[in-house]
Amino acid sequence: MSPMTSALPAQGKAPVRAVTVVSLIAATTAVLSWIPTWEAEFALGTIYVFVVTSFAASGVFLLADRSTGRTGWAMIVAAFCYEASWWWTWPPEWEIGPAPLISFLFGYWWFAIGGLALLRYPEPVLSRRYERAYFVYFAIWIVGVKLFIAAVSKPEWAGWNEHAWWLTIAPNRALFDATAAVFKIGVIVLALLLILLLLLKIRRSRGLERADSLPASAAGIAIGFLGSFYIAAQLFHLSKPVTDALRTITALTALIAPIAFVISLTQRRLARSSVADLVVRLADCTSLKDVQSALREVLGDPTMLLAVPASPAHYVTCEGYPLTGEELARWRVPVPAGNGGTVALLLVDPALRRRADLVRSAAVAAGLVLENGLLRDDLAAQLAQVQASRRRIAEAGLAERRRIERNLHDGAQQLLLRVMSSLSLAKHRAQRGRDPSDAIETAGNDLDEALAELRKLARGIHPAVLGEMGLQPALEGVADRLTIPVTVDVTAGRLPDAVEETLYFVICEALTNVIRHADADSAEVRVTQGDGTVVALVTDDGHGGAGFEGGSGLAGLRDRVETLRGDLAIATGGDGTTITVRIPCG
Amino acid sequence: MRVALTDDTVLFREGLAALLRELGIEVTHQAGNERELLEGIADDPPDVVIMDIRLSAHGAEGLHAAESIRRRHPRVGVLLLSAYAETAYALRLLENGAAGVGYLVKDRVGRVEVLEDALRRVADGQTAIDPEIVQRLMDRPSRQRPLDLLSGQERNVLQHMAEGRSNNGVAEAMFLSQKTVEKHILSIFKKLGLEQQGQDNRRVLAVLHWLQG
Repeated sequence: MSPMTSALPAQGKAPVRAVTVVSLIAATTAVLSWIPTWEAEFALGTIYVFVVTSFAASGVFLLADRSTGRTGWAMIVAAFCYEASWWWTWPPEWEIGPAPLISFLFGYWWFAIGGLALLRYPEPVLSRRYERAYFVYFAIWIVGVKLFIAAVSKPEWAGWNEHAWWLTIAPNRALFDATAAVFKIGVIVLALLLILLLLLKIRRSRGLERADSLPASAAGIAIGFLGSFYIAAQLFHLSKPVTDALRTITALTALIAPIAFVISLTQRRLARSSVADLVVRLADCTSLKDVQSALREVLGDPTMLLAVPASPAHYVTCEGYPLTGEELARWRVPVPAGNGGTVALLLVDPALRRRADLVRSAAVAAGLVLENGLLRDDLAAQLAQVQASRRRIAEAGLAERRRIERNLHDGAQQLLLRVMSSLSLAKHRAQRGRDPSDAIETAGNDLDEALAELRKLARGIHPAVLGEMGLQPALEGVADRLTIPVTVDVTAGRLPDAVEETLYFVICEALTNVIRHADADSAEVRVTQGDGTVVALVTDDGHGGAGFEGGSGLAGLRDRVETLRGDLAIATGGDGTTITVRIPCG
Repeated sequence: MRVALTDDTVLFREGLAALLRELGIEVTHQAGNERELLEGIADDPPDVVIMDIRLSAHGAEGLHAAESIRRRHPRVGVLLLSAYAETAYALRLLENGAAGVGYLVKDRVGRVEVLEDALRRVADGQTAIDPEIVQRLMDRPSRQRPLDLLSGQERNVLQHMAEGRSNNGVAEAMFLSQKTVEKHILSIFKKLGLEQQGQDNRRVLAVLHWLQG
């Protein structure tokens, strides 16, 4: 069949020639193989020809799309196995040579291969280990047990011409009857398991993936269900009309599989055309966030992010937040600009790589609108804000380093120098036989003070107790050292390091502000957690008037909180101020 | 007295060992971490283990190590040294039993009499809490100040109690008779609304908790 694949057009256009050729072969062989039966079973024969032809035709359709190519092959092979499974309808004079044995051994393969195609669709491979194990058992069952049955039977026992080729080694009628029944029970169990696997697959898939695979899974469930009914009817020797009716219905059900594939392929084409709608929708967008939600909807990925460059190599979310490592690990699709550069990035669920064409088209559409004037202004405003905030953070870092340097210089360093001079004095006195203990005493006192200074400084940079025991004890330690009573109540549990450190720093600075500017009698710190957000409140009973302007440093604190996608709000009045910090976590 | 030292910085350990020897205290073992120490003292336990609360670049492993030493060698006292005076560390240490444990800021190596006193108390099965921690807690501003109800002498008694001294120890430190100290303590507990604790060791934790508010 390889010449046919090479005849397939590379792009999504229907491979008319290949479909015609393969379908004709399938239809012709099917019509010919039914020759002896046409008169007796015209309706069933028509269905049979339809099934074989549509299996083969849908297989070739699927071959045209690279991502569904293997499913296509499976459907073509299933078409011919299905054909072989009906040779038992032949008259005895046709049942000669290897044909009966082939039909006997491969008759059930259409069910296994078709089931495999339906279960893995639209992926080219089975995604779960237990699914692969299932098909290994399936194959072992339908090959192994059938070979065994052929070895212990004669062809006529299985309803074939006694002169057909057979595998007879040790014929045993009782054993044959028993194994044949066991085989059928096994197939029923396997069919029910297939239904279970398909239900599990439906349950775990979501978004576009689910829309893609649902028709195929539904078809598989229907076929598995009716197929097991039919085999059960044979097993219990139900009356001929019932068995015949079930046989016809099962044959009809098999038709659902190719129909499901055609539905799914059509849906994919429709999704591609929804990119056209996207362009129309995007034209109405007035902010980057609107663009992001339009893209999320079209791609069926509610977590997709539109990332914009804060500097050439550094991207942030369209709301100006830094990206987490996990977000950066997603599939990055550049949004092309008119000049060939990249205007933004789409961070997309890697599962959507299968729909690369759709995602790329959406990215191009987004690129077109991002270049439009209004959004360019929004983009520029966002970036200005991000850059200002980054500058403030950098400046705050620099100011902090200067403060530490000044503290070291004015505090510990001066004290240590005085210790040195006291010790020189002591040495001088000792060398001259005079009592040095006074000078040593002074040196000891200065050292005490220097160590206390260093401790204070180190604790201000990063208190060890915070990492080890959490916010409550660390903040208690801060409260112990303040000049007004401060109640600390942390009900939140342990939080990620970055969140704890930011909260600690922001609360310390807020308390310092209270002491310096608020003229308060007392203050209260509360940290609570709920709905994936941690909320910290710093309340005082001072004269109010705190704001982001001036030297309060609150703007710097807000910047720090915003790097964790949180926000900081001030509520202030004549009877005090409350600073509220919210940071999402978990 | 026999002492084992654990500190991950050799410089400080050697300096402390020299100082202790000078004071006539025998240094039986020196170790850089908990495992080395436990192996070292397994067959020859000292009277007291002096240990840095921080035995690596991060974490307060000393607190954990103190628990395992107390479990394996209940008669060995544990004196934790820390670069920081953290109330939380002291409370955590005391919560697992206050008998024979102590918590001092490392700077106290410059105050030989404080260090010696703490070592002696820990070896005796008493408690030793750094004066700086107690002082800070006593100075802590609070909305109601029942501490203001205490007389000057009562405040001193409370401070000594919070540092872990027994009635006898308070009496010695303040040059008072034991009877007077008992009277003061009764009055303090009444004024602060604290329940009278029979055991000295449990009293420390109760007083510290009360001071923390």
